Amino acid sequence: MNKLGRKLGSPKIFFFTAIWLLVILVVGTIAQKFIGLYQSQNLYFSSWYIPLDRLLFFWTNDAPSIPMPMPGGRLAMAVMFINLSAKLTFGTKLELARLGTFIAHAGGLMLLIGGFITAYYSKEGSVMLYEGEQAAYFDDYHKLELALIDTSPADHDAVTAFRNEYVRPGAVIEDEGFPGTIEVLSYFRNVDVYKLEGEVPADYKGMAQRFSIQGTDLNPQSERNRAGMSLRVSGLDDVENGVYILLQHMQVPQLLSAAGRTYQLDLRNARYPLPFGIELLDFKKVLYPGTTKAKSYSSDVNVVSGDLKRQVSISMNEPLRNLGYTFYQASFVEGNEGEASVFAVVQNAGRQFPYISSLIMSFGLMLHIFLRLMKHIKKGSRV
Amino acid sequence: MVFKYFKGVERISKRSASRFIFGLTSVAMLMGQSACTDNPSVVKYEAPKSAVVEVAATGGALTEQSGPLIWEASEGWLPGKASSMRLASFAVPVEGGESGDVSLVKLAGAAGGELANVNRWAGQIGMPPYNAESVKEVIMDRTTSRGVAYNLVTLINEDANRAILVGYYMMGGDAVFAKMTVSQSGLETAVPGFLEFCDSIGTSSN
Repeated sequence: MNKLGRKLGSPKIFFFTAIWLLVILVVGTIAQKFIGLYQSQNLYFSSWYIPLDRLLFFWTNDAPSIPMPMPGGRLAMAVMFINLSAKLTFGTKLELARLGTFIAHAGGLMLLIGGFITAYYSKEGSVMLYEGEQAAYFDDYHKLELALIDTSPADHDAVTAFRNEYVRPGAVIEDEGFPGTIEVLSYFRNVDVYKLEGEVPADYKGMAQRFSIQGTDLNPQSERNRAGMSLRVSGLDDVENGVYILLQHMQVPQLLSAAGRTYQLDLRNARYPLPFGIELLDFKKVLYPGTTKAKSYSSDVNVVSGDLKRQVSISMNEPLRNLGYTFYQASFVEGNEGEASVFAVVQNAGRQFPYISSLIMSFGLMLHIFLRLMKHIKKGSRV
Repeated sequence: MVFKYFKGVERISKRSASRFIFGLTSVAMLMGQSACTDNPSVVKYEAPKSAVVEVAATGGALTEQSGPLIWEASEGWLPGKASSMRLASFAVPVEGGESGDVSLVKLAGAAGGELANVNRWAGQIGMPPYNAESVKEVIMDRTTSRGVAYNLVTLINEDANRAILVGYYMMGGDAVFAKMTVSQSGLETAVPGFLEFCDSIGTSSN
């Protein structure tokens, strides 16, 4: 065990993993120019493996496919974590003289743990509110969901959101209470929409009667991609059974009637409920005198918990932090319906880790320097 | 001489260190495990009612003091955004999965006058204001199927890919606006239905 542990904790592993991380960092950073920040992050930094062709030909999507997986950023950091753990457990003599480096390495481990928590736990999204409007949710920036919404209850909508493997071709969706079955026929992360010409099949329903979708290349700017999917609904009556089209950001709801209830189908950004509500009271914009350039934005909001309301102000440098969620003033909209404020919302259980681990590493390094200094002083006094 | 203060802790128990590191690893694995379950594939929850499906999908009559106002929604239109200002609200499907927004609004009196309203709508899609002479270029006289005369205002900002069409009626001394906001690329699809809608507006006495 000790032998295996010492091998796992070999500094060589750390050395080559760090070099590999540098390679990924350089390629991924340059690739951002061609495929955008989000895609690059997913492909190079958040992945367990990277296809070799994406490392060699990172500037083009038309490169020949080379079916050889190379370690991705996540795998490299996992190897680094195991290596550091093994090194500290089996490879370090725990003497006082090495206490500083021990603590510094432990800080590094904690930093990696924080990274993993952030990678899996964190949620990032946004919510837009018009003045007077209230919401108790936020929408993910990138992840999508297919929502089956029972709009029949008088006082609320009953939402069942299907994510991950359900937003893929071939997925079959069934929900308790919904008498039909929904099969995902096709799904594209970015689509072009075409007007249907000629005779339309009788089982095409809703928007599918007038339009068709076709997958297209991803836009480097992730938010400019509009997903689309086609679905086959079965198990209901002939009026409702058929093929439907859903598009991300589609303002026209696709409705189904079943068993005396009305259901809405929606392909949308994954929506996360908040344990409290946010009500926008007033959005304020201050311009530089004589210009239309904004000097500052701020929003007065109510944080609503049950019957309790707490008024706070969110401005560009003063986010609202509540129950693990942070709201940043991100943008605003001035439209026909009035002024709206856009908040970036982040939930990250690992956000304290970089601070704490940095402190630990700093303390460890300072202790190491101090102990070394003392050793030299001690040696000098003997001489 | 400083080292004398560390007597007794010069050698940290290796067993304790192992426990510490394995504890740390266990914590990480536990967190990873619970993190995986934090991203479920099916989520159920209750949400406040969405206004979008609460508005009647078809045209209807609304009894006003000046007489019941009547309109008919065009084929293929769907319920639109609800608002206390709107007598009716529709979404008009157009290309690109987008939809035009149609509203029917009634305001007391002349509601500021024709030129002021046209300039307000022009400003909403980033167009410069008109004067009393140039505004005539964007106004067309029309008559509904019920014999009500109205002005059709057409504003298109090609640079911003946005357009506003407004049917502007004076009924019983009050202004009625049938307004459609749509992308310029959606005009071809949306305009026929909007003109049908404008031509259907009247009162029961017409």
